[in-house]
Amino acid sequence: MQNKREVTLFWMLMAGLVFGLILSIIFAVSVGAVALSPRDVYGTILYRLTGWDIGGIENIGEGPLFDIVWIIRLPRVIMSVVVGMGLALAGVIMQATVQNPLADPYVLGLSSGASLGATFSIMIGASSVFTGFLANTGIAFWGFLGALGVSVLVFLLSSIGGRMTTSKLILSGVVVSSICSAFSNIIIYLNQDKSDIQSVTFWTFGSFSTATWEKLRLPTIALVVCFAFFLTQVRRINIMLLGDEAATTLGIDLNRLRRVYMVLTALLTAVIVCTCGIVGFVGLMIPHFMRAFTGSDYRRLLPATTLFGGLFLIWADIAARTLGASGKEIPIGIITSAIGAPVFMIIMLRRAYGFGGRD
Amino acid sequence: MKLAKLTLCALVALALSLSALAFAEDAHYPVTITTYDYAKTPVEITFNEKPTRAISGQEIWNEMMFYFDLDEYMVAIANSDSNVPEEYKERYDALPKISDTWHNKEGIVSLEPQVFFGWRSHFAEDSLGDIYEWIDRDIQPVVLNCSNNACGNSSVQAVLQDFDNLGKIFDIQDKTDAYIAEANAMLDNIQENVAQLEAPKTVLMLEYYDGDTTVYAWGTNSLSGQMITNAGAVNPIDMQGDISLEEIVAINPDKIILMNAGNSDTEEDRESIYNAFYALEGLRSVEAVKNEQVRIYPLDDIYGGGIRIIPAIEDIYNWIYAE
Repeated sequence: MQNKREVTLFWMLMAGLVFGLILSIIFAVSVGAVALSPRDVYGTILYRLTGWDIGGIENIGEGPLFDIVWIIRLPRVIMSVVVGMGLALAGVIMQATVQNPLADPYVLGLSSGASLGATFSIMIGASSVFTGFLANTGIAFWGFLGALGVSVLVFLLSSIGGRMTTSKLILSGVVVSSICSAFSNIIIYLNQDKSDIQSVTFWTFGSFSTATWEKLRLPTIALVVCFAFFLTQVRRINIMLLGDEAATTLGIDLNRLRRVYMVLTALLTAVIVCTCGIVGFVGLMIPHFMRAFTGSDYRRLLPATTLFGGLFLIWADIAARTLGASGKEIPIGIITSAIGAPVFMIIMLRRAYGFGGRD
Repeated sequence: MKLAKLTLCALVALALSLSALAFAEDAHYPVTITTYDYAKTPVEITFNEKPTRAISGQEIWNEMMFYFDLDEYMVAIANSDSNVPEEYKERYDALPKISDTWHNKEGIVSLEPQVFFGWRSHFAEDSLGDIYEWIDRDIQPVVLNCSNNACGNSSVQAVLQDFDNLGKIFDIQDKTDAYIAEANAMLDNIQENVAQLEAPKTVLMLEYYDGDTTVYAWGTNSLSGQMITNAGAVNPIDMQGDISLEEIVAINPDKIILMNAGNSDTEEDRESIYNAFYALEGLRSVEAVKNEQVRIYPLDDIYGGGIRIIPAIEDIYNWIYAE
């Protein structure tokens, strides 16, 4: 960041993103299946946060209005921000770690691992296989376990025969992914229970529709911890992008770094997947999109990508909530792909685009 | 001579009347009914005689066969072990079963049936395949009208049409007509009663199982969603699909039906569905939730068609307008 003009531009971009994020949150809580006046919406939130009654709202702090705004809508909007930021962060780290522009948070089989865990829990049920503590565990727990189990497996596989290389990592991810999908499909195929199949569908499409304040806690903590940690790592990531040889010359143990990064992103992604299912394309597309603005310097790319991920998913969720006819919801995963793919294509066609390092 | 002539006349008369009788018996056939291929196009199927070898490929058909005492014509029925009404258990056990009628082409063909009573998805590419191939094989396919909306416009009348089809195919129209007439009288009665009320109740039919899934709503584009209308209440949802919680708050239904599409419908299952639903904090101000006017119906009672639909509508009506 030697160039002063670039620095100014970067800070302007960041300010714009933060400002946009705040504005979007404010806007997002005012739209939804039910038309509410902004006065009712913000009055309710203000009352809940500060106890100040702006007047003119009947039964403030209770009843349907309060439930829609504070119990249903606000947690959902914030969930979309947290998930968007988390997935974008995980994606941008994953792309650097495996040095491949096609990497996303799910590339190492995390999503199919989580799906397998969830499918197992929904269709077979932990209580029918285990006793004691494990018998009382829910879908989220098994999804989480599946995601983590898969990342460990991918690690081990890619470490076979000496050093772990990026291509081995990706190939192992693909292989383990297919194995997990196959097992999920076998379970689904053998089980014709319609209610179970619907529950599994949730996992493959993702949704924020039943977000609550309680469900928000874990992903928020994971996001804050990971974001803070990776901010301290941006210089190392930049060196990582130069390739294994360059990094070794500069005295950085890439193998160890990769492990740490991947464990953290795996944890972050697993927590997200367990909260809202699989929301595709965000982790892949948002980092690429931001590269077009910030370049591939992670000191700028990382915070910008994270912020923009949140911004993007707010709007994707607004679309999911409002585009469906008469209160119907469109699964968020469909929206992210529908918007994401064309945008991604446009960026790829731009000449200015570069992945960073040796791409 | 005279006696001989008389005898001849008598014999001719007897022969004539006998043949007339025989003719009357056959007069029902050939009979043509309308069914639907996988693309939902109507297909006319003709039966030249009463079929004596039939397969029921789905449990809704099984129950209809039992209801009209057609057991003797069944060479096999669908396996629905988990879900046989008590009163049919013995007869169900007595008949040969096919375990997976969706993927058992060979098993079905080898039984040499004349007619196969199935579901729309039976004739999907990856199941039994094209309906016309079966017609060419002289195995007449009959699809349940409202199965995956096969007839394109599911309704309780389409369900009753299934009964009419069965009546025509097996020449038992006296029985099926009576069933249809009684059903229509009951349905008309509900509408008349409701017309006298100040305002009909608003009812939603939802599906929700646990804290991690979305809430699904059945709209009036489906038979299940229409059963609310048939029961004299208003279902404000037209298209089925996921519904947002705030939409439910805004609709504020008087009563909510939860469909249990799970394989089992024990007290325990119901308990867990109720618990999950009442745990949706955002819905606590909804009339139906506040007054605990939420009721579970198993899928089999309110989906697809068959003998459970009409009683279920009556039951829903009685529940909605219990006061």
